[in-house]
Amino acid sequence: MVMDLIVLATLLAAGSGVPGLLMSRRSSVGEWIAVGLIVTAALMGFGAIGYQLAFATAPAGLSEPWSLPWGRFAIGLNAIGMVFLTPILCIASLGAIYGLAYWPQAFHRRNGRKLRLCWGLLTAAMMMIVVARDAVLFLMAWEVMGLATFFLISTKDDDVGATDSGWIYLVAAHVSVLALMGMFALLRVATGSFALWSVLPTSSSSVLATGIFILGVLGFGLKAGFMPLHVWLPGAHANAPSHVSAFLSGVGLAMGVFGVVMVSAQWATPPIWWGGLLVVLGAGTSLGGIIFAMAQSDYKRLLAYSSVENIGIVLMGIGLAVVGRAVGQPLWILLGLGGALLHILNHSLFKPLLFFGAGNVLHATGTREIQMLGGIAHRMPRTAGLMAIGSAAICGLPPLNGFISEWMIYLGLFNCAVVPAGLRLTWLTLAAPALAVAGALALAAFVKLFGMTFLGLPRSLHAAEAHEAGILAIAPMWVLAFGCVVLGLAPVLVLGLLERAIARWDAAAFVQRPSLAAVEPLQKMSLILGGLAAALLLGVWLVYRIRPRMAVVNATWGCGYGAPTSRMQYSGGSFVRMLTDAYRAILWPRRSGANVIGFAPEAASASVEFPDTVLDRGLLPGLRMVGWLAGRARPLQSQAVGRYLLYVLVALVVLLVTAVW
Amino acid sequence: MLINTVMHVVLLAAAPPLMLGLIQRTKAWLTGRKGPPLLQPYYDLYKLLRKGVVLSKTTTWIFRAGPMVTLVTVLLGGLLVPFGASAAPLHFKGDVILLIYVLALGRFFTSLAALDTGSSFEGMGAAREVTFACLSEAAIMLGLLVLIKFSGSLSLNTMLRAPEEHAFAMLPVASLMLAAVGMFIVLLAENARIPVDDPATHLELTMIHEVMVLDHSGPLLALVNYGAAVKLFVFAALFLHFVPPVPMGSPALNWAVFLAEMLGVALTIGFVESLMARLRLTHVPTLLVAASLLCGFGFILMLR
Amino acid sequence: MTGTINSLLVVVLLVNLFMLGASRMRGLIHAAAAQGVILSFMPLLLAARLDWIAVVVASVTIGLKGLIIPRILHKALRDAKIKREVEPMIGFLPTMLLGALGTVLSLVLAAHLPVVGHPVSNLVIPVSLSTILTGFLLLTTRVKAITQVIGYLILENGIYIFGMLLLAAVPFLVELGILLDLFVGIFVVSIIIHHINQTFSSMDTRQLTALRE
Repeated sequence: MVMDLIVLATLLAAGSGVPGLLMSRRSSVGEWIAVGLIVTAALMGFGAIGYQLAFATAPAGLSEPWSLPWGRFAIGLNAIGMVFLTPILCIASLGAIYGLAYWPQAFHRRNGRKLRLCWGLLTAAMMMIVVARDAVLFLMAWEVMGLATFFLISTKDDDVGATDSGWIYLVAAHVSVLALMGMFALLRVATGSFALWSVLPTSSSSVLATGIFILGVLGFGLKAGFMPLHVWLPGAHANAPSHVSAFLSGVGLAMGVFGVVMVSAQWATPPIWWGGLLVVLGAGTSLGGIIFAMAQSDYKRLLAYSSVENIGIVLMGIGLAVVGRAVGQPLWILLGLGGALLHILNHSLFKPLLFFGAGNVLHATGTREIQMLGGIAHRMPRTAGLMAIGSAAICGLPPLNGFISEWMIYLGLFNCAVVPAGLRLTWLTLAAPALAVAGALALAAFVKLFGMTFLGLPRSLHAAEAHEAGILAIAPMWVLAFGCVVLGLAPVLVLGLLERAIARWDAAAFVQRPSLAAVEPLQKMSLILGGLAAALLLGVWLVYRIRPRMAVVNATWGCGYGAPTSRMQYSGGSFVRMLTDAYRAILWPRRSGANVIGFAPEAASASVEFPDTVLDRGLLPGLRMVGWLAGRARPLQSQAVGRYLLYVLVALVVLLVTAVW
Repeated sequence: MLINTVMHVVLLAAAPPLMLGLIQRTKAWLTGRKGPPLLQPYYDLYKLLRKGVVLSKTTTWIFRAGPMVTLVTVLLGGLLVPFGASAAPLHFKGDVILLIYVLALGRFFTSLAALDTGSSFEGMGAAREVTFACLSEAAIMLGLLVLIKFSGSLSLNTMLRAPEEHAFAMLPVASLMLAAVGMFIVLLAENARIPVDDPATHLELTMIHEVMVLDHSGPLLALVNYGAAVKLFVFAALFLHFVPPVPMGSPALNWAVFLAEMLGVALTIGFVESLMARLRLTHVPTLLVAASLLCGFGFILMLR
Repeated sequence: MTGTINSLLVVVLLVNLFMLGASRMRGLIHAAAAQGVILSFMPLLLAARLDWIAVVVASVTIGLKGLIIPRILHKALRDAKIKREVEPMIGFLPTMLLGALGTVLSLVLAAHLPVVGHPVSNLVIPVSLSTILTGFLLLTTRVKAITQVIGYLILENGIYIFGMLLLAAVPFLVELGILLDLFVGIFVVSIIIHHINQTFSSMDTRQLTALRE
């Protein structure tokens, strides 16, 4: 029953773009049908989840043979799957609704239908990934997700930036598939079947287990965007249409995390160093991601890098849980995995909210440069207010939802410090200061994003003539912002689901484990946070009453200068200048322009940009070098037959010599 | 218990401006001036509250919300930090994290309110505020880790100051000293005191906190100033947790010790401010990194 | 007792960090003097009973490290009319981070070093190593000749701390000998600095290497 609903929902979602294909390019009926189908699919999915949560005792499953040579059509839904399925359904439908305003068929006749077809396919593929219980089915869904994402990123196929990012993504996606194929092959060696996500019988210290784990981290890490593997991510999320960025960033990345969670669940006692590796990788990813985010001048790129940061935070939590499982510390598992999963849910609320807002700004002003904007809060008050909520939430500020998950992960890390002596794992606690620094940098990045974009004076005509987005674009943002507030004030709502997911992850020892709510004073904190929210509202209301009575409205004080212009404002670049200088060894900025020397200098200009160090400084030049070397090897391939015969002879001699040796 | 709470709230609400007055008095005394009356900060607040407001045309609701939000956050922070050996009114496992993040919420709104005016000076101040916060947060976190590692507790209430739990001889003196020096630097930096920032200067180019609030006036400025005073008070109370406690039996004595210690902190700040000049802005990160390193050393010493 | 010693050693550690971050020559000299004085007090705390030799040695060291050597350095600074800023070859922040890294390493290393007997505090070896390292860092990363003199001074301080482990074995006279050597060395260097300054009008060691011909 549950699985039938899921299958039906998947099919509906997959086919949601098809009716549009049959209609005229000018007709907007197709997009409404697509939205209707996606929303119906989402409702069915939610129904299935609700039924499973409320009534079912055992995990749901369905297994049918099929005519392919390998595997079976086997699917199932467990608590971890539900945690990941919820944001997929939620953002797929909200994004589709937002798309009605952002990418209407009437204005995008050439590619609107392609976008909607791929949107449906992507939704269906992700749903299938979460429920797949067979390696072949999983890989097929993974591949469909990769292709659909590629077409979505390069929706604007006449834009070089978009198509380039699309190609880079496609390469990354296929390296990921390659790694996953290797992993599933090794899994098959270990278990003897293609059935997925069972606890492995082999001892965890073996080479095989390590191979599976490393390939899994590599393959899923490429999708999730762990720091050196994130190369495709900033460009793709910056160049894709904004609601696609929201979907990919809020939910797409979570698919990689889903993989890591499931792979790491497969051993009863994993080695400690796996968890340590994940924690270190997570700390590096979150710090690196936010350092790059803070430097960006393109607000969509900034948001993309901030996704890398959030994935790093999630990874820290998972790593902590793996260590906890290795050394038998249930509390670490509870707080680490609980925090990580909750952060996935949270990220799927505030990141789409921010990308939708960014879409509104882009739609209204036509530029992605923070330096060109400013002061649009006056012209787009609703977008500005909602973006403020999103920015505060993503910085982990109370009383919003980001705080709760980060709090859990902090608490888990602190627990490493107070553990009884003999474990020698206190060093794990040092991830907490790293997380704190990442949090402070995130605050700098989002103060820059929000302050420079929405506040102050317009820095260009684009910004001065901005207009507020329509109700179809604002309504989904309201829903997400509401979610941020609710999860922040009442995390109790999802605790049950999280606990079931943790129990699925490590069933063996969960019995004697206290629940999340009992271990940690979440209820008490919720009360305090509620008080904080009430005090904030009351205080702001009090201040707001000042205005009519005694306010004088005048220009900003220019410190005595009579004719300030909007160009004299502090710019986004100067706002983070001290930070980008401090981290120049990592950021490796590209500066150009004249140095101003002397008392009466000529007109001069200077610019600084922050290319991705791994992609633009390492990978692309490296690949270019390989291409150059390959070009040099070309003469070997002359057209003369004698030359080829010579090669054959040489090869023979070499083989003979090795054989004799 | 109830008396403790009442005492805590009253002190938190009423005492912070007095601390400012004490610091100013110390500075005046050391430089041989007469100085303003001890209660001058209260008079200033009263004066500002009765004045009108000038609002910039550029600003939005954030400009007006900023001072209030900041005040609410530091007050909540004050309710989380135990004053001396007496328990804080609000406490739960992990309240240290809420303390750090609620102060970050205040910073978020202060700097946004600064950017809201579109003035380059205020933008400059906001940039410095968020930049230096990145360094001081690491220091605070490492300093708190020293306490967590020592006490095995995750709530400020039961960390170092929990009375009669730890004998003085058991205290990790070296670690605490290192962390205390680090936290004192953070206390000065976060509250815009010399040598990081000069609360008395009127040169916009060199300031951090004062330049962010240039455009606030009247009651809004009163909120800003009061909030800053409360923040200083809260940080001073937090700093006291790194100073080995004097165990006292009765609650009344505990409060007396706490007040004496706060007086000591105010005097120390006054001394430091009189003896030092403001650092060049480029040297401030060095100072804050040093603070993080000290707290980090303290933590590493505990690991051995 | 151990508590006091530990606190003094921590102060020594703080002074090390301060010296790596100090940007003024005066501050640097004062810090070195303060460190010397603190260290000279320590044998008095350690001694089982106060005999007059210990007191004499301590007062001589305090006089030398706390008064005479700083005064010579200040005089050299004044006479040579050197700029008051310390000139680092690599920035203050990187040297400080290097010093911190060194301190952490010495903390880790000291835990694994075999120690004969019972050291009075488990901080002695790490602080000693870290001080020696600080001395080396000052020697290698600062430009001015006078900073290098201070570097040697710190290096000697580090060795002195190490010597406290062997308090019973090594008579104070040996330490006194080292100190005298150092004192004479500093005396000579400051005279040389004076003369170099009169002849070449530069105190940059980078340029001094060009003198070898």
